[in-house]
Amino acid sequence: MAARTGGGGSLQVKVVLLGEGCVGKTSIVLRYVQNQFNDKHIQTLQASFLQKNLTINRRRLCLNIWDTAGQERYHALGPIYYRDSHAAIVVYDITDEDSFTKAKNWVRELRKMLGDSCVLVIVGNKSDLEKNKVIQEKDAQEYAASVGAKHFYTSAKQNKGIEEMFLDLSKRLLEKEGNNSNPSSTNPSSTRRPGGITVTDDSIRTDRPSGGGGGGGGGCCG
Amino acid sequence: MAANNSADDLEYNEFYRALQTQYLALYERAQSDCWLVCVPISASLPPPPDISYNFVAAHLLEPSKLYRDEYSSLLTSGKRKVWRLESKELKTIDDSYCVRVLSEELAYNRSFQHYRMLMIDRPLVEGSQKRRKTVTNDELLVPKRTLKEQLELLANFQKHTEIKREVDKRIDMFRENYMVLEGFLTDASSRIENLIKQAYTSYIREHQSDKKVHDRRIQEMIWIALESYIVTQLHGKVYSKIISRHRKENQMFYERCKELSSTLTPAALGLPVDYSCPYKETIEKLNTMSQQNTPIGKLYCLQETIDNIQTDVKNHFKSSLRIGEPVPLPSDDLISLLATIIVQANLNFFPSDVYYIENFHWPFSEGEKLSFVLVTVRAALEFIKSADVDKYLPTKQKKKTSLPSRVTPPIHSSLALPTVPPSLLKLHDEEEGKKEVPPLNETLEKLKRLRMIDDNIVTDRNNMSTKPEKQEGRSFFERLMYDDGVMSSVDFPSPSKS
Repeated sequence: MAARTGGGGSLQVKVVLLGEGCVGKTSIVLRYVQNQFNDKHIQTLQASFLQKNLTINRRRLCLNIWDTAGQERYHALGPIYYRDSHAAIVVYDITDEDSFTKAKNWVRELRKMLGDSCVLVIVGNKSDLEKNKVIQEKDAQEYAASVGAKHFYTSAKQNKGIEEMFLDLSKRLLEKEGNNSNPSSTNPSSTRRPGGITVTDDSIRTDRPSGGGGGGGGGCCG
Repeated sequence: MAANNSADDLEYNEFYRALQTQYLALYERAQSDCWLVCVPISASLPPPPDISYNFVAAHLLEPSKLYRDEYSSLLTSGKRKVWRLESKELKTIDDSYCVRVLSEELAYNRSFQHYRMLMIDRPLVEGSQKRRKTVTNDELLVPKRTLKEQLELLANFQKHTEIKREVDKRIDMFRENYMVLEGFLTDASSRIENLIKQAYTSYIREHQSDKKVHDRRIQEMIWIALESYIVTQLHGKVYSKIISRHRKENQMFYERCKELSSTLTPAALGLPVDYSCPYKETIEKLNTMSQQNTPIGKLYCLQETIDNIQTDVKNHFKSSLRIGEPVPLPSDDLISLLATIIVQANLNFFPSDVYYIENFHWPFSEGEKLSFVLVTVRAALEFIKSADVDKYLPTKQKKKTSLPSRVTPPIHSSLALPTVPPSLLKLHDEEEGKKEVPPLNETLEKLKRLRMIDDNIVTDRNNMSTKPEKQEGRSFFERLMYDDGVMSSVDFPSPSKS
């Protein structure tokens, strides 16, 4: 699914955070979104859906970050969360081997559902607990490379590696969008809605509708 | 809804646009040298012709080589002006002029070096802050939730009357000629979506010369207004078929909710004690969903319900005289809490309503908050449907069914528990633990309120007795740190910001 470009040229992307419960998904996203001073009132309690705007070389991105349910009882609901995502951050705990195995399962499921369309990052969190590390860096790096992902170490506790990870993710999203080298190509007066209508100053084009309820069924016009 | 409806959003800021277009060379230089870029909010800006070179240059501040947090403007009538950044304010060095910093955006230059971009409440050029009476599109951008407000928005466009007449004709045709059948609801959905698309295209095409429609936020509002109008007109015809298609499911779900209403509680789901609070108003809010005639109206109601949950938790936390903030709600807990609220509400047609939203609302922007709300609601609904009822029944009731009547509960459990150290409690059967816990729990809770003991004992205790998931074996601090967000912990000091 292509990311949507807003009227002012910002790129709206959906990023899902996946991983077993307790690996630190929520802490990572809270650290990234709230660490910087911001008066725009992010509800402190809201941790499951957060937005972060950033500018990279004049291109603006709006990351809509979905923290997904990681507990086993909600595992089956995964697909409804990561449907239509542009990027996924799969988190494991470097001190917990089981969480790494689960991360691999998430990656497998993601690839099965979304193919290669999704920018993927694998994150070993709790890097501050280095002495208890059970997942070796080499194994994690090799695994990440084998699935077309990048691997990062982060520590939500010490605020390490998080900004770098999100920056890399954003760069790859922009590269994928193919617009990073030509930011002025975004016409501010050109807008698009997901249903497939592109409106520019001069023309209106109606494409095939996407998503929604559409499709199928028998016609019943009487 | 659009990600940001604020006119101050950088994406629509005229100063920022001027930087990106008219004064690009200046902006490029500021970026490459990692200067501080200050963007005054739209409402404080002078009219576009007044956004001059000097005005722009005055907002690009070069960091001082000697002093941290000191900056000087590149050019102000040939002179350099020194500014000091203090917390949320940017002041002149002699304190004669001060602006408020509203927010900071993450920004990187071409070499991916970080530079700072601040949104400020007024320009750095004294005397230039003549506020305009109206900001383009500002009035239109006020959220419109009712059909009346949405129609008023459409009426702002010159050719509204003619387009509406045409739309009404199409609606009448649909009403008279199309038979909605239970088994072909997806077809009805795609036909209604087409009606909305046609109407939307007409609005945009007919008003191309009107600058308003070039704003994505206005486009989204037009789309939502048209969707609301058209779906409301066809509500009776469509919704009755959805209800009859889901009759059995509605009934089963209603009964399931009744069955779980007293037992599926935050405590039974192993949620932190902070979340065990009365959600009376939230439940009332959710009950108003059935009064809404449009999928988007129902979705707004669900969004408010979720927002209210968070407010309730916060208020409950404050009312218990605790310091700090409650731990943020991660998705797992949000779904669980929502499930406990849904089962307590009186929702006769909940599965139908969720289907209605999923199939007769076409989000303008995928991946944004309303999409998240819908997915969370779907997750809660599926959880309720598949929840193991027996697991959440009161212990006594469960024992009746699971134990022969002559078997008496082991005496040791009721006697031994208060003396068993918390770390050993997890060895007890989950349900047994729950049964015996209250007296100790209450005592611990009282002590905790008096701040005589640490929270972690209480929370660990609760989680051990009720939460079978991975929480076991981890300290409260670890969970807070890694799963619930350390930044707003209650009794632990927050790590310093780097």
